Amino acid sequence: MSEIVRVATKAMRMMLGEQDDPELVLISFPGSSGARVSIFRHSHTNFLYAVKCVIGSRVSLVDEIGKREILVPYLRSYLPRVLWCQVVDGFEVMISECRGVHTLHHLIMNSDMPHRRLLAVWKDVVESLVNMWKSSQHQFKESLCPRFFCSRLQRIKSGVNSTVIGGVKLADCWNLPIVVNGNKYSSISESFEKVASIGKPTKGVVCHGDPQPSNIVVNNDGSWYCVDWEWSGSHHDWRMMLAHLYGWWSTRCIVLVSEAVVRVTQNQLVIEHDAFIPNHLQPYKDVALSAASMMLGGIPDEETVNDINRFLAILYFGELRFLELWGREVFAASIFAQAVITANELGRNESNLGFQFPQPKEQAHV
Amino acid sequence: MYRTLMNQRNFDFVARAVACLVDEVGVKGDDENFWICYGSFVLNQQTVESDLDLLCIHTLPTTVRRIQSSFEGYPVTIYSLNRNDFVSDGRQKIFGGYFGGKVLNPHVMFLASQKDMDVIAEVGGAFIGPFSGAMAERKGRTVATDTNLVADSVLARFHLCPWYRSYFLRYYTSSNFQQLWERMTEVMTSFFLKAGIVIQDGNKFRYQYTFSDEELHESTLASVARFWSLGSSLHSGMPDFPAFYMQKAEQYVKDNSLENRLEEMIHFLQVQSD
Repeated sequence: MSEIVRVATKAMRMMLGEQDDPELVLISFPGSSGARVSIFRHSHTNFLYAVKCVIGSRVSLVDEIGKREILVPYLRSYLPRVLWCQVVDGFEVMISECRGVHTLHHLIMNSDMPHRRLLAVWKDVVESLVNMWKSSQHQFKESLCPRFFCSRLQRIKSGVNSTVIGGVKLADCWNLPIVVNGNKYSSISESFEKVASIGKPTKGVVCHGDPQPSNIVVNNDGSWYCVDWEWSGSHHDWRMMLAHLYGWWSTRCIVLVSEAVVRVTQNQLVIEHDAFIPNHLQPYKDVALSAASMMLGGIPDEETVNDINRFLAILYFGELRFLELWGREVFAASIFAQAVITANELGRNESNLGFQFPQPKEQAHV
Repeated sequence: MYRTLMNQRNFDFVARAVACLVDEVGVKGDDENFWICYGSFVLNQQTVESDLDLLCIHTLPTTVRRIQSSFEGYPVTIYSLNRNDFVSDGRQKIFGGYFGGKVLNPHVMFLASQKDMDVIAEVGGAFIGPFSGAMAERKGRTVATDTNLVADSVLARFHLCPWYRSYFLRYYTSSNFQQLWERMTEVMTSFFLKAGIVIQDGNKFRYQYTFSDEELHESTLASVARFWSLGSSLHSGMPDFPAFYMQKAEQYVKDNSLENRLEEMIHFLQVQSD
């Protein structure tokens, strides 16, 4: 039995005060904080419980529970109740009610429910978030943003600097031009400079700090609730949040056609890759995209689009840090290429409106 | 109070944070608000994971609140309470020293006038004073040096909350503990004098009032109950909060293999109290 399962089981027994083993239904992949969630079913009542175990996390579970309160006025019926929180054998453990076993991401990727139903859930999630943004707007104070841009960018830069893709250390080619599938782009260093010049929104909003389909749990009846409130706060930049809603599909849902090739040649970092987002997922991306016009009451202006793209590029660069944790290193070249392209195509042409994931033409066959 | 221990960079950071966070609490210039920073930033011990801990005391007619925010990427915890509530946590121990205890830790004030500083001294001294006197009484000591006073006050806090030992251990194991201890000695002595807990005779001090056994028992129970009740209430009504806090404190010692240092620290305090 893994350490996490042992601790989660022990916590369940401590909470229920029973000797009989609760049934372990599922254990999640680790989140970016390393947290693991185990789902248990009570043998008599059939109630489901989500047991979150973390060790050495940046945000203590006690504080995460406190941040849940920030969302309550806006998402009351979409937040599970916290039932128990203690320290067990060195792990912080939180047990909350669990109204569904799988995340929206899991259900979509495995097509475990009709996509029409899942798309309706995703629409409801996005609309609920936009409603929360609209009703909580206030003067934006960048320094109060839970995902403070300057620190985040610095952490991501340092993460990219220590990344190795296909045997190539990115630190060693920091200033080299990058060629992706034959198209030339600026170096990593210049790409970061481009994304660093992000503008400020006029209003700040309340939001879950990491809104994406892995943080949405869906019940069989199609009801949903959101989990992982550690980055929730009152001073979010809605454009960054939108980048999370949109960027998910470009990072977690891409399919590789072939293994990417990464090499340094003639003083250039060359990447050849072939990846695409399956067509049946496109409507989910479109829904995420629609959040911008819902929020603004129309098509966003070029400056807003460019800033959203900057956030997207940062998100893609940032994902590189977690691929090993998630066993997804094989996607590194494609995600890195996506980050570079997004950073470099800012404001270049009209087709960039709508911050779509540039897809190779040959994908039409999918 | 402990300004000399806090580096300029941290001081400026907290000053910027306070200026930005006033809206989070909802205070304005005429609310006579002042702020107290305590925790790792005061002693420059913060890491990227550290919280910025702040108390905001004001004249707004609001109940005590715990506000979670952020500043420049650091999580921030603000306790917001009005002046009357703060003062009531001194002599009356209305929150069991939840706030009276915080100002006994190394702290730096922002926007505080001399009158505000006197209030802090009165609240901190009046809260822990009678318990400190009881610690001296247990030892059969009738007079105290300034070092005895500060050691009594720390032992009194351990009496009320044994898990505070793990918190104090962070100070004890810090590289500038000697300097910190000297400053704590000066500050506690001034708190006790300001609150009328002790009277001074040359370089000796005498506790003015000492609890009877029954008073000590009742006051201890009342403070402990009030402290944990408020703690749970301010942490999203978590009934598990006391257990969580206690386990975390024990875990800190275990994780860092500080069992021997903990023993050494308690011995140090006992010797300083003799």
